[in-house]
Amino acid sequence: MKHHTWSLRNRLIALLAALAFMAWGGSSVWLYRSVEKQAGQLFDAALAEAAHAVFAAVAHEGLGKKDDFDFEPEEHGHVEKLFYQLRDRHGTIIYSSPGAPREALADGDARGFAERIADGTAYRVFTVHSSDKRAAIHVGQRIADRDALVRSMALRLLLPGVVVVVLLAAGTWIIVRRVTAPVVSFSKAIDARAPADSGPVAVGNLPAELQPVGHAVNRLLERVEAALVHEKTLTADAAHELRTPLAALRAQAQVALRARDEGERSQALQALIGGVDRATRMVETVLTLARLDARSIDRAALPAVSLSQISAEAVDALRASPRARSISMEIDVPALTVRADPDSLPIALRNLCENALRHAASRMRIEARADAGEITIAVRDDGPGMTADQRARAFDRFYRGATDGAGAGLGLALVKRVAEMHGGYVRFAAGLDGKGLAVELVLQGAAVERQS
Amino acid sequence: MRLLLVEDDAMLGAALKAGLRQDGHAVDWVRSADEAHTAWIAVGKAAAYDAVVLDLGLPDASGLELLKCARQRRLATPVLIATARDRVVDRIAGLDAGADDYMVKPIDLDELAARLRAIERRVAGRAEPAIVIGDIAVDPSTRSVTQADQPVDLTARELAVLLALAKRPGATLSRDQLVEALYGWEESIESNAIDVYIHHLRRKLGAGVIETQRGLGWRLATAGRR
Repeated sequence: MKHHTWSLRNRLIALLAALAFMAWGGSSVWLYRSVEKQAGQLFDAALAEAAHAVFAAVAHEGLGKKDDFDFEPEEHGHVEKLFYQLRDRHGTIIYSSPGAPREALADGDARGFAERIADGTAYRVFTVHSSDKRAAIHVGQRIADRDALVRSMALRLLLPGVVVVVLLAAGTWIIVRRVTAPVVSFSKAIDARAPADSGPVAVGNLPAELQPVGHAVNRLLERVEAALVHEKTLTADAAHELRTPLAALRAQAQVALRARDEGERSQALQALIGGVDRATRMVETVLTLARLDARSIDRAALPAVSLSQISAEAVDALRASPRARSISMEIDVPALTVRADPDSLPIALRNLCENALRHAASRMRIEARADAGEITIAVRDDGPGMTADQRARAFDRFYRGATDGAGAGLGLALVKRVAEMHGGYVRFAAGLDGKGLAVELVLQGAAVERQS
Repeated sequence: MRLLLVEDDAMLGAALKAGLRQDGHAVDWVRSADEAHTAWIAVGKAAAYDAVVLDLGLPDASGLELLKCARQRRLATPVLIATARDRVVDRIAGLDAGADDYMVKPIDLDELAARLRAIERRVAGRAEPAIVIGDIAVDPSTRSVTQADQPVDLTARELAVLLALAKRPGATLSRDQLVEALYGWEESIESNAIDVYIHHLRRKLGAGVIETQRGLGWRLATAGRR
């Protein structure tokens, strides 16, 4: 499902245009109302004035001589037709101007302004009575005429506003495009990059507000690049570590095949079996790691594991190895039980002890201590230790460091995974006698009990 | 050929060494860049290696660095890279760093042997596969020797002595030079082994084939006859 989002630029243009339009609309309504009001007052004044003028004329000429002043109001620009009705004292309409309705424009006793529907048309009417009540004059104007006039006046006033709004919209469009141009060119610059290009994006010519974004993009690119390099090394290491034993098997098999005598052949076949054993061990380690990867433990439901016991077991498992004869293996683990996975924690300890034994010069030691709910298990040796470079990569899978040994570079990766499964971590520490190396496995929040 | 094998993996190294020895090469095997440096680069032009088989993924340094270092010091020893790195960029980098050939693991021993023969031919400036010394022809690929078109049966060591002498026609090779060409470091050698091989070669190919330069060594007589 595509989630449609407006671009900031379009949103800005639309909002500003809408604002201009609304401002124009609002001011138009206001203008129209005030034109309507002003014009109404003007019309009314004209109406009243006309009524008085006609009344004065009639009074001067006298009543009854209606045929004498059959005047025609001139059509003139603004005020549209006015209609007159002259009534006598009995209320009879004795004179109507041409086009005036047959019905009375107002009640006989009406005074001043009134509105009335006569002959189906709405009128605004002004009535003047003679002081002796002998006569009255209604002057009327069609409301429709008045409205039409107001409309045409308002329209003439509002038209320039339309032009202004259009110009404003165009101006907004241009300004917004110009202001947002750096954003667009920045995104184009990112888009146009080759997939392999991981160098930084030029940030110098970005506006101040975008500088942080540019820097953030560059930091992200750096991290992606680092992750990519890491991934590539990992893949290359894995390829190397997985291929080499197989290549060795193949070569040994070929040596056996090409052997010219029985002794040479059986020697090659012996080596071949050794190679198969080694490949098997490696596959076992890879599988163990894969199982640990897929495994998630319920930390709340872990059984109590005796640290001293699994430490002793890890060391005992190595007693048979030839190096164990020349290396002193020490255990300094208090009687502690921890909540831990009874399958994976011993594997981690065994790996740490194997490493320590392999690299130790004369002694290795496994220690444990508990403080503040944190268990630290340390395995130390007095071997050559690791360089900073090696430490940085030592927990990577298939990284083998300087060991020429039979491992596939998975041991420490496995230890790290076990630590993480338990919500803990691994770190390096000082070895023994001022040399060598220690790997510490820290289990956080593992409930600790002193064994009785 | 006398070869330096640089391979950190114990098992693969042992297998490659055994395979190369089956092909009659004298093989010195080292397992780190540091050892390789000592055996090859530090010795410089005096190093007797005809070729180096080099793994790139060494524990202490990259094989590529080692190769660059050797080429920087103008060591022309042919280098064949044998590595698990199979990407095209790696191959290009390897060849451009000065390698003569590049093989990706797993390595077929027969192919490795053929590529080493090709390197040997190029170094000798020879295009045809067989080496001809007078009426004797040696085909290194089949390890067969003929004299006047008649097959001659030689052991691997005898053939190695013959090839060592044939590599530099007319030149005299001392006992030490022949031992170096025939044996790896840790192989034990009977004191009169070379004399025995020379004796056998003379018996099989004719007494006049190899001349003794008293106090200096031996050379192929055929070179002088041309």
